[in-house]
Amino acid sequence: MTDDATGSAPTQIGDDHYTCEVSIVNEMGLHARPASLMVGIASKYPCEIVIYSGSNTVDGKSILQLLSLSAEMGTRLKLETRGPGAREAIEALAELVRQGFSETS
Amino acid sequence: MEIFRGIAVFSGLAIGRAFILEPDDVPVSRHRVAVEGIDREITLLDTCLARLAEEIGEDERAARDRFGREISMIFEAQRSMLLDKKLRDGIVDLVKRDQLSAELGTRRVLREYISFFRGLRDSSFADRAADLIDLERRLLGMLTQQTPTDTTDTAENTILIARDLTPSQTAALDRNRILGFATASGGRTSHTAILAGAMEIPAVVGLGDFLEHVQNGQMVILDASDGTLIIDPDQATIDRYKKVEIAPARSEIDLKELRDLPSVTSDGEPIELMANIEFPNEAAHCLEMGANGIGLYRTEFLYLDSKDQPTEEEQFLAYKKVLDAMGPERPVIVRTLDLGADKVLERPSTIVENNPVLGLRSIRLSLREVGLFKRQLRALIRSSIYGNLRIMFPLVTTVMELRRCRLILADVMEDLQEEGIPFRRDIPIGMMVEVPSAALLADQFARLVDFFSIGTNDLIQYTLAADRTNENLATLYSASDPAVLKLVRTVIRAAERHQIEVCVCGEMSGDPIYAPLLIGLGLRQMSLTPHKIPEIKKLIRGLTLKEAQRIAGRVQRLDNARDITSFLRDRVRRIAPELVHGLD
Repeated sequence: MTDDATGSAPTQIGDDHYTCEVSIVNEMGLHARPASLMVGIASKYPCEIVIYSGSNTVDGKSILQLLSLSAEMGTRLKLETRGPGAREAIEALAELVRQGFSETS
Repeated sequence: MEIFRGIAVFSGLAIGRAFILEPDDVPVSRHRVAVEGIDREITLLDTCLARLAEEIGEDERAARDRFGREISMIFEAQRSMLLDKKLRDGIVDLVKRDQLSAELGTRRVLREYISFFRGLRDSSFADRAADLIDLERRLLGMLTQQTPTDTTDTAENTILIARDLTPSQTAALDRNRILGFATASGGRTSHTAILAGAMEIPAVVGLGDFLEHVQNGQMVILDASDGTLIIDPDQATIDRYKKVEIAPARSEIDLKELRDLPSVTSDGEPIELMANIEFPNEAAHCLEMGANGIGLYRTEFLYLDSKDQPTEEEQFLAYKKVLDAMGPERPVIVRTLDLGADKVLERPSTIVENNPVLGLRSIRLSLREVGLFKRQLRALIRSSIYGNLRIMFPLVTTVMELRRCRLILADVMEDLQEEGIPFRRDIPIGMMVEVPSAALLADQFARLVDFFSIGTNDLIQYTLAADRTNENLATLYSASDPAVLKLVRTVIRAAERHQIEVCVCGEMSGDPIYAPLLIGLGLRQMSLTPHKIPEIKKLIRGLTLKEAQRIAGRVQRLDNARDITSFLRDRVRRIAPELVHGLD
């Protein structure tokens, strides 16, 4: 799996400020279960986490907002983290999305 | 007697008395609070949020013990929705700014989310509204200290009737007394529907406006195998259903039992199920799975396994082995070499290809390397006396290619005859239809071959110009695309007109959601991975030809892959819910 197929590697755009693009690869899209996993990881980091999908911008720590994106398989998301732990947070989140939220079915 | 139709989410038959669960709109009595009461209101909200989070955590643990982790995630997700900071912030905002009571604030904020989710186009996301309704109901119950209605005091043999059931209500159903449930709203991807499947409780959702037609205690028949609810049935209907009343559907498919059953629709139309194989020793496994023959024997392994090109004798022995295993009657369709030049030629390749998928491969290579092609054909024709051999050419793009194939084949037969080697002259010859040009000219090709085999993997790739392994194009590459389906239909029609056999191999035929559609389009032969045969057979046995044709007719009116896929999933879920997988 290359970076190219599933998005870019995180890029630093400032002090403790990172951005990265990922595609939703799991069949069911960003549904309740994946969104819940994502929020679980996001909440571990003190930094601010913003997720962009098309013209929508949501808080990466809010499952309700994540679900409101109705991001299905193939949707491209831009992640942005800023503040303490920004680098670790973006790496963990990008990995989660790329692994298809470890969804096997 | 009245009959309503909905979406079956777990099949089975239940006959019992209706128990109507009234929607518990927890009434909100306190609307406003005084300025000095604001802090108390927020404390109350926080206490209730914490308590409810705890309760849902217990639901989650209980669900994990009963149904496993996949199902318990439903409650974990509910818990994170409840603990979403945006939710609390929204409520606190209304309390502080507008001096609303915590309960009214809760209702306002949750209703706003609920109506937002209901309005989403994708029904599987819209189904999340039910989770929020569950939260609203429980949180309001706590804030106002009212107990939401439950189902614990129902009589035996009850069929639960409701506008909607929330996941927590569903999980709390007592299976000893409640035989099944029917709801007005709800979709196939709702968590309630998924729970019904896990609990193996017959359930029909999305029945629409039926609540005013049913009364408490009335006799009802819930036939969740076809998604019907019969209210106040007459005696004849009850007797008819009592006769077929069976134990709750099993979730496991009994392979052994299915193996010996014929592959026919429930109204008797035979559908031949054949197997795709790669190695000769897979043949025995195919018989175990109940295959009617080999629909696609890929011969590439012979070339990839050995350093040198395989000799005629090596190939002959491999083909003979498969034919011996399958016996004299069952067809064995062998596809000639389907590889690119780089994989086959001994000499260092002088051909540089910018785009190998559109390059010199498959039958194009065989027609260029005639020596190689003739060797394979000789081995094949020699093996023909050992069974019901059929030969198939891959990637045929033009009529001229096919004519050349047939000429070379005739040449090889002539040689064998001169050498006095026995073979069958009447070997059926077919072609793969996997290039759009071949599908479009199916009428012309049908005059030149004895059978078609539609190779959907390549046909999709070439029709939609999308590489199936490219994750960025995952939504583009789809067997449900109406353009692909139109080509499939064209090929099946041409085969019907010219009275030749047609089969679909490729992953499409192993995916349960496409089986009814393909049969409805007129297909009577499918070739698939052997281990998929039992479940597809089971599906076919629960399907009527008429139903399949109706499905095909409806699909024709849809204009995009997404709608077609969800329509097909929905239909197949009604016929065999255990075959349509995927939790959300």
